[in-house]
This record gives sequence, C-alpha cells and structure tokens, in this order.
Amino acid sequence: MIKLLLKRLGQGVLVIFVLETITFFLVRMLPGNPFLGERKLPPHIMEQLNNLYGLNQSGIEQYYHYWKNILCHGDFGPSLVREGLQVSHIIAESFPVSLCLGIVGMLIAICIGIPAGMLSACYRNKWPDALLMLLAMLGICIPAFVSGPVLGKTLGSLPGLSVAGWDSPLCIVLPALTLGLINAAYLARLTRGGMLEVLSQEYIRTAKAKGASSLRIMLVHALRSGLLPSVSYLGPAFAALITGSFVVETCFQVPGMGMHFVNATTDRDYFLIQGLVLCYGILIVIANLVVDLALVALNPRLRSQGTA
Amino acid sequence: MQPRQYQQGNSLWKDARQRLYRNKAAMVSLCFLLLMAVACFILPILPCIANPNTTHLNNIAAPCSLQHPFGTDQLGRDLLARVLYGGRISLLVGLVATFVALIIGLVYGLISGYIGGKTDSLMMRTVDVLFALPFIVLVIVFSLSIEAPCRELSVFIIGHTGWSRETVAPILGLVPLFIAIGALGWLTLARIVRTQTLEIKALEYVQAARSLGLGHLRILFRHIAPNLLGTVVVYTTLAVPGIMLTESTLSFIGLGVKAPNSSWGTLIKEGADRMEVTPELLIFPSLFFCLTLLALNFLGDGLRDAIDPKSAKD
Amino acid sequence: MRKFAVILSILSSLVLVQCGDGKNSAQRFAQEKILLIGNNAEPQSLDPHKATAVADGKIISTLLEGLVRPDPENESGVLPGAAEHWEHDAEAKVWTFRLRRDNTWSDGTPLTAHDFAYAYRRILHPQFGGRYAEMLYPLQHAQAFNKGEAPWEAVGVKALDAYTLQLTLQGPTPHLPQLLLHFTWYPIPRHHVEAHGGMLDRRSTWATPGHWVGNGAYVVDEHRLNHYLSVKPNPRYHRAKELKNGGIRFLPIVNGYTETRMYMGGKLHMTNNVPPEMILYARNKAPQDFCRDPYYCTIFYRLNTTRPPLDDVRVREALSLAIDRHALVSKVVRGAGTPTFSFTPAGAGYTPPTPKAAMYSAEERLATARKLLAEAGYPGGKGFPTLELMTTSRDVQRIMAETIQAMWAEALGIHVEIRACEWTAYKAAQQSKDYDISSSSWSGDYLDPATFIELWRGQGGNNCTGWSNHTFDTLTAQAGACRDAAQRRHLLQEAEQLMLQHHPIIPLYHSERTYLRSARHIRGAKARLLDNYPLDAIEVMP
Repeated sequence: MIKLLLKRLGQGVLVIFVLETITFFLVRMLPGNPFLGERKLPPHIMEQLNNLYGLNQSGIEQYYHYWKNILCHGDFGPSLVREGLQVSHIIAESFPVSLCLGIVGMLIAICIGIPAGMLSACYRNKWPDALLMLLAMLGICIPAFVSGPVLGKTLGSLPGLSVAGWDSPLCIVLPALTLGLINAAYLARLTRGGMLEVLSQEYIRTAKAKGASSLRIMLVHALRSGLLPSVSYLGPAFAALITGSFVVETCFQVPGMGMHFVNATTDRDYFLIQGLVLCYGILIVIANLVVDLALVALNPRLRSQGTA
Repeated sequence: MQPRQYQQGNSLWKDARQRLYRNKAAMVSLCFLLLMAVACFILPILPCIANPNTTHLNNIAAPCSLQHPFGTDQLGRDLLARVLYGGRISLLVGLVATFVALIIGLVYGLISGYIGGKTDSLMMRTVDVLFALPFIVLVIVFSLSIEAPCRELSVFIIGHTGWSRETVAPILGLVPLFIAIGALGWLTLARIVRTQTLEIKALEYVQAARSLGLGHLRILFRHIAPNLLGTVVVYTTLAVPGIMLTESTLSFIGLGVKAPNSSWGTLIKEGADRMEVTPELLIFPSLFFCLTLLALNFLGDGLRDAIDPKSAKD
Repeated sequence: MRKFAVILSILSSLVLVQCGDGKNSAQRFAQEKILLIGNNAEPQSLDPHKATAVADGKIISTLLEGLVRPDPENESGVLPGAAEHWEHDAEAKVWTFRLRRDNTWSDGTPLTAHDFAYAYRRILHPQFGGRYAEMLYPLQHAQAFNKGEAPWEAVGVKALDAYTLQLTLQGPTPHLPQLLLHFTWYPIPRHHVEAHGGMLDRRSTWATPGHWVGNGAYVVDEHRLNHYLSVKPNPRYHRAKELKNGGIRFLPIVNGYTETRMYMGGKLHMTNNVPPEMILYARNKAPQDFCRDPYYCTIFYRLNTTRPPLDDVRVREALSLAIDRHALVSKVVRGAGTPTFSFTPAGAGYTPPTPKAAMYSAEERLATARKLLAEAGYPGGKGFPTLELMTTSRDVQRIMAETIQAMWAEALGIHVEIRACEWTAYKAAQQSKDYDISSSSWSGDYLDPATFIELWRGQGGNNCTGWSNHTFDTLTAQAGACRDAAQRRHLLQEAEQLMLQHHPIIPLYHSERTYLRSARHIRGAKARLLDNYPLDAIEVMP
C-alpha cells in the first residue's frame, strides 16, 4: 500500500516537472511579450524591463533560474503585468474563492447526479430513465456561457440571489449551479452505467433471491461498486473545478483562478501562467492519488491485490 | 487466413447493424444528423438561401418573416443562412479535429499496445502527463503559437498553386484550430486503442500470423487495426461533441473561428450577449447546436451498445 | 438530527442577514455613502509611474493629488491642488508653483516640493523604465535624460525651497495646467519609497494596499484581485471636510454585458460601459440612468503606408471614401458616436479641419472613391490584391470590421480579409508594422489637440503607419514653440489638414461613452470629455 502511494507520488512529481517544462517553453514561443502596452514603449525602456526580469537571458538560463528560485527560495516569481505583486500572492488570493465555488458546485453535482443516475438504473429503459438521460445529455450539450447568463436572467431576480458579483454568501448559488449542473449530467450518466453493470452481477442476484428489499440492494450492495466510474471521474473533475472556470467566472464576475488562467495567457504574464499551471498540476496529482485510494477502499478486490 | 477473417467480421457487423436498427434513439439521431449535414452543406448552395455575409444595415435585428425565417442579426444578415453556414464550420471543425485526434490516437495506441513492455509504460505515462495539462490554457497557447506558421503556409500554398486567396484563406484560417484541438483531443482514444490492441495481440490468430513470420507492420495494419474499427467508430462519434464544445468555448474567449466566418459557437456567444434585446439570436443557433450534439451523443451510445454490447456503461 | 438543525439555523440566519432587509448592494452601500463604480479592468499598478491604463488612472487620481486638481464644474479649468497658486513668465516657459504649507502625506510626513522633483526624476530615470515617461517630455531636456543622454541636473525641474517648485519647459506651454491633471505628474512620497527599496526598485511594494501612503482625497482600504478595490477618506487630506461621499469601491468588470446585468441587479451605482447591443435594453429598462456622453476619443483605421498598394495615396483615399460612416455609427455602435472625416475631436477650443469628403453626397463620395481606385490602376477593384484588416477579438471591433468589409466589397469591388488577433498579438503586429489595415482607437491623455495630432509625427512611437512628412513635423514643432494660443491652434489645424490629405489613417467616428449612472443614488456627476470627473465630488444618496 505504502509502496504504491510512494510510486504514485513519484510519478506525480515527474508529471508536474514535465508539465512545467512544456509550459515554460510554449508560452515563450507566443508572439508579443508582457510589456507591450497600449502605447509603444521606447526600445531602451523595453530593454530595461527585459533586463530587470531576466527575460533577455537565453531560454535555458531563464529555465534554470526559475527552478532555482522555486526550490531554493520558494519564490514563484513576480507578476510581469501587475508589477509589484507576487505570483504566490495572486494565487493565494484567488484560490480560496475557486475552492469554495468548486466544492459547492461539486456538492450540487453529486446531490443531483448520483441519485439521478441510480434512479435511472432502477428504471432501466422505462420512461424515467429516458427522461433523466435526456436531461443529462442536455446538461452536457449546453455550453456554460449559455446556461450561465440564462440562469442569471431567470433566477437572478429571486430574493437573496444575485445576477453576478461576489459580495454576499448567496452569490455563490448561481455560478455553483451552472458548474454543478454540467457535472451532474456527467455523473448521472456514469452512475447509471456503473449501477447497471453491478446489478447484472451474481451477488446482487443472490441478494435478491435471499429476499432483500430492492432499496436495500441498491443502497447497500450495489452502490459501493456502482460508484467506481463516478469516483474516477470526480478526481480530475474536482481538480479542474477548484482551479476555476473562466467562462463561469466571467459570466458571474467571480474573482477566482480561472480568470487568471486565461488573462495571464493573453497578457503573456509568464511567471503567473507557470505558477497557475504548477498549482493545477499539484491538484491533479493529489486528486488522482485520492481517487486511487478511494477506489481501493471501495473495491475489496483491488485491496487484496494491492495494485490499482 | 484472409477470407475467413473477413467473413467473421461481416457477420459481426451484421449483428451490430441489426442491434443499431432496433435502437430508436440512435436511428432518429442518425436521420437528424444526415438531415443536418444536408442542410448545412447542400442547402446553402440553393439560391433561396441568402448570402450569410451580406449586410443590410437598414434591416437589422428584424423578427422572423417569410423572407428571413429566423429573422436577421445585428448587421441585417439572414440568420438562417448564418446558422447553416455556421453549422458547416462547426461540423467541419468537429470532424476534422476529431480526424486529427483519431489518427494520432490510433497510431499511438497501436504502437504502445503492440510493442508493450517498457515502451508501453513510458508511452502511457506520457499520456498521463498530457491528461494533467490544463486543457484550455494549452489550446490557447497552442493555437496562438502555430498561427504564424499557418499564415506562412497559406501564403506559400497560394503562391505555388495559384488558387484564389478568397477560397483558400477561410479554410486555411481554421487550420490552427484543427491542429490545436485535434492534437490535444487524442488522449482518450490512445488509451482505448492500446487496451484493445493488448487484448487482440494475445488472440490466437495474431500469434499464428506471427509464427508465419509476417512483418510487424503487416500484422499491425492488416490483422490488428481492422479489428479495432468498431471501438474507434464508437469513440470517434462520442469525441465529436466534446470537440465541438471546446471550439465553442474558445469562441467565447475570442480565439475560436475568425470573422467573418462564424461557427455555432460564435453565433451562440453573440446571441448570449444580446439575449435581453433579441433572444432569437441566442435561441436558434443554440437549438441547432444542442440538438446536433444531442444526436451525436445518442448515436455514439447506440453504436457502442450495438458494436460492443458488453460495455453498456458510460 | 440536532446537527442538521444547527446547520439549518446558521444557514437561514445567514440568508436573513443578507436579504432580511430586502436591500440590494447598491442600496446598502448607499446608506454608508460608499460609491460602487464599475471600472473596466483590474488595475495593473497603483504606482503612477508604472500604471498606464485608464482604469488605473481613475483610481490613482483619487489617491494622489497633483499640483492642480480638476474643476468639477468646468472641464477646461483647473483648481489649486497641492499648489496654492502659480505664475509663469511671459513666454509660459518657466512656471513657478507655490505649495500649500499644510500639505501632508497620509502618514503625517509633510509634503514638499522635493517629493515632486523626486517623482519626476523617478519616472524619467533611464534605469527605471517608466512606461509613460513620454508624458513629461515637455520638460526641458526630459527626453534626453530619459534616454540617458543628459544628467538629471539639466532637466527643467527645480525645488527652489521646500514649498516652491519651478518647472522649465522645452517651449511655451500655456496649457501646462491641463497636462498636470494627468497622473504621471503626481507626486510620490519620497521617504516612503526610499524605505521600500528606493527610487529605482520596480518591484517596490510602496504602492500596494498594505503599505499605501498618498496625498489624495482617499487612501487604499482593501484590494481583492478581480473583485474590488476600495478606498476610504484620507483624514489628513487638506479638503477632507469637503468630500461628498464616504468612500469608493471600484469593481473591475471587464465584460460590459455582465456589468450592465449587474447594474440592473442593483450591484452598482455607476457602470463604465454599456455595449452597443445593450443600449436599447438599458435605455428601456433604466431611462433615467442611461447616459451618453461625448468622449475625447477617435475610432479609426491605421493604414500601413509602406506596403503596396497602400503606398498609393489614391488607394488610401478611395478606401476612406467608400465607408459610409453614418450607417456605421447609427447601426453598428447604435448612435454612440459622431461620424467624422477628421482625426481630432472638437474640444479645448479647437475645431478640426473639415475635409472636402465631409461635404460630399453619398453618390459623389462613392463615385470619387471608384474614380480614385481606377486612377490607381484598379478599375472596379480588378487586380486589387487581398488586404488584411486586423482587429482585436473584441466584439464591437469585429462587427465593425465585418460591416466595413461588406462596404468595401460593395462600393469598390475589393475583398479584404479580417484577421482577428488576440490583444497582445494585435499590439505586437501593429507596433512592428506587420499589418495592412489595423482597427485602432486613440483617446486623449489631456485636454488639448496636441495629444492627438502629435501622434503622427514621423518619429512618434505610436504612429505605426510608416507615414512621415517633413512639413507636418515642422508645423507641429512650430505649434509647440508658439506662444499665442490662437496661432498655435491654427498651426495644429494646418498640420492635421496636411495629414488628412495624405490619408495614413481612415477616421471613422468620435466615440461617445455609454454607461449607466443611478439617478436615485448619485448626485453631481457630470459629463467630461476625458471622463475625469473628480469622484470625490460625487454625492451618494441613500
């Protein structure tokens, strides 16, 4: 077990390292640079700025210094566009918002998606199944930049809820709902599939033959294994959710991390992109690790084998 | 060896076809998709459909009428024509990008699964790394960094073939998008192809072929690849909607299809901005987009149930 | 069960706290007299020497005060700010400012003329790399110092004593007070900057929310990235008692559609921008609140005059004439602008020249355009190469490009392609002249025609068209050295006329600001060409 964990962790570190390397060189290939303002900078000032932030060095040198600063000083570098701010500060400020939104969104997704999937599996090929799956499919097909404003328009005027903004705790409802519904749709489909697979297996039939009630069968015997596909989906999806969604954040004016992802790329804020990708990579690795553990816990067969 | 193999495949396909015919949702979807393809690719040639780029500034945001069944947009362009042409681009992006993803994923998965061992695990770890990349950032970075080479390529092609720029440029303008979305969308496919290859490789007939002393390439492409067809078809159908969604998200950020071409994604985005004033601009393109995606998903599900009845899961 | 009940009660009490009084943010903040204002973008920096964006300028001008401050009643006038009074010599070349003696920074340190000299030295310092250093080039030898070709001592800035600042300018500059309103001319707290890394430290944190020291009406209260930046009254400000509100909260809302929706949802007292498509909606839904103000800004197309066929002035003129500006303004931007054939907007006593084209009827205009194109060798657009029209991916720009593309096709029979670039790629291409036609805009930094006309000097960094003309450069130089205001205007007019005859650009329209301002909560805000109405003069009503 511990060996497996360590192995996964080692792989994770490698993944993050490769990730950073790819991003490092890719973003520097983009046209333009972080100092292009609306008004043209005199060449000598541009040179000054490049000197100051070490952007005039060769790629390899910059790359070396980047890692050196992180590993030796824990310094993720300055923001090149918002001079005076540190990348770590920007991430520290926006991450809790995205985390909060992501957790609520995920809870909504789980609360809607998993029961819907189970219901669907119970009524396989009958009308509730067809209806639920149609709804789930719709949830997958409608882009967030449509469902967001439409939700805002229809529900935003309800007391307490707001069209957009982040100034009261209830502001979280609509963006979380937008994120939640999309993921609920995926979860419903996965849960249904997983449940159907389990329900066709021997031990369920045995339980049925022994006269267990169908609700008991569903909740006690089948759910555990039936959730496997959903759990493996939840890991990466959760990591993606808590690093923010540009679309939802723009539609609802949420000060989260997703906005930084896109803006840093279009502004060429090299260090900020790097920092964000690093953060995302770490979360993905952790999420996958948790998923692996959860899968082992849910699936006794995996436990005895000791591999995942 | 060959003929028997072919026959066996045939009966398998026949079975699958019958299962598919019996799946109502999939058949309705298939008909819908065919209809949509005809509508988007053939209908606009007919003279009764207006030019999607002709502006009529004295007839902006007109409501539905006989002349303009869906009304007109913010520049007086016929919305029906724009939706149909937009569908052309969206479907094209969806199909071509999926094709790019398909080729990469297929070759990668085949090689990885066939060679096995250390190479396999190395190649699969690479896929894991790529899976961890923040997709949207990478698409942005990628589509921007290959934009300049693509422009040079288009100048080169025009210079050497003498094709008119007006016909070449709009399509070549889409190339960065094809490559960017396609190059990042092949991962799932590679994984699936690899698993299947591993299974097939262990089958008797492949070992027989090997013992006959056939070359690796021959075994790969004559004996293994054809048997992957089913899986590949299924997952390709399921990949198209995802890729079309990605394109629409890019359009939201402003990096999707470039003006004056418009995809459903750009039309929906423009519509969503104006939904307080002219909801038609949002409703019609969204309807087309969502129905097409829905149909693609249902068809994909149906195909999977038909070809691979065991894996009824998602 | 009990746990559940506890959670439920906490949740419901939260809900009650939030909406129990049934009030929205706009009403709640209005009770505390705090102004909620949409501010277009997250500020880059609060350091006036690093900031360049309009959004930054708006915030900085509440935090720092220059020698003079804007007059809320009269845009072309100024009121004494940090300086009590000032005089200049007969040529308007040497200006002496007497500073108020009771001025202090928000940490209690007295503000002196040395703070101003220190600020000007910092922004111009060749090793600092101030992005907006150009704004101070009217100072004698400032440009040379900025390029490292002259010592600081040569620059025309002198603190004669702690409360007297003398500015010596390159030429007569009667409009200097207008220039001084710009944030690049504001002072910075020398003692504080020195304590935070020194003059040349670009990564200094002196201007960050936790460390802020300023001399303006407000001080930074809180800053949450992409969320809000709030400022509260500065008790040490010399006019602290005259502030009309109890603080300002700037919300960086990039997306105009979201901003308008938020306003309608009671989240703001004032927005920055209503996108054209939403004008109708905003006007219907909030007729008293919708504002449309003239703005010191021109929307135009740059033409790359170094590339054939745009190196032919006849082609450039034909392209310009073929555009129906009235249709563009009324249909595309929904009336939020004034169609124009000249570049500089009217204002500050300046009337732009009226080119012949403005008098043409629609038929004459198109006929002349076709004739010119034929003369240039492309009758009916035959043989005309495909040009690229570069725009940003912004919605309005794209739609405008699509309209003009159609106009050119119809009127001249030529095909241009639209190249929609993402913002940084667009800037990079424009500044390296890697474009054919570029969709551009320019807004004035200060209320004087020179901020527009001097753009087209051959050496100007923002020219980017490849057009340069010796006579034009001479005329603008003469205007810069001219003492008489009327004669100066005349020279500038002549220069603009000359530039327009050569068509390095296609002027389209002078834009207007469309935004929402709550008639219920706000009193006193007025339209300004530069959009620099002093925010401390805005009264917030509950």
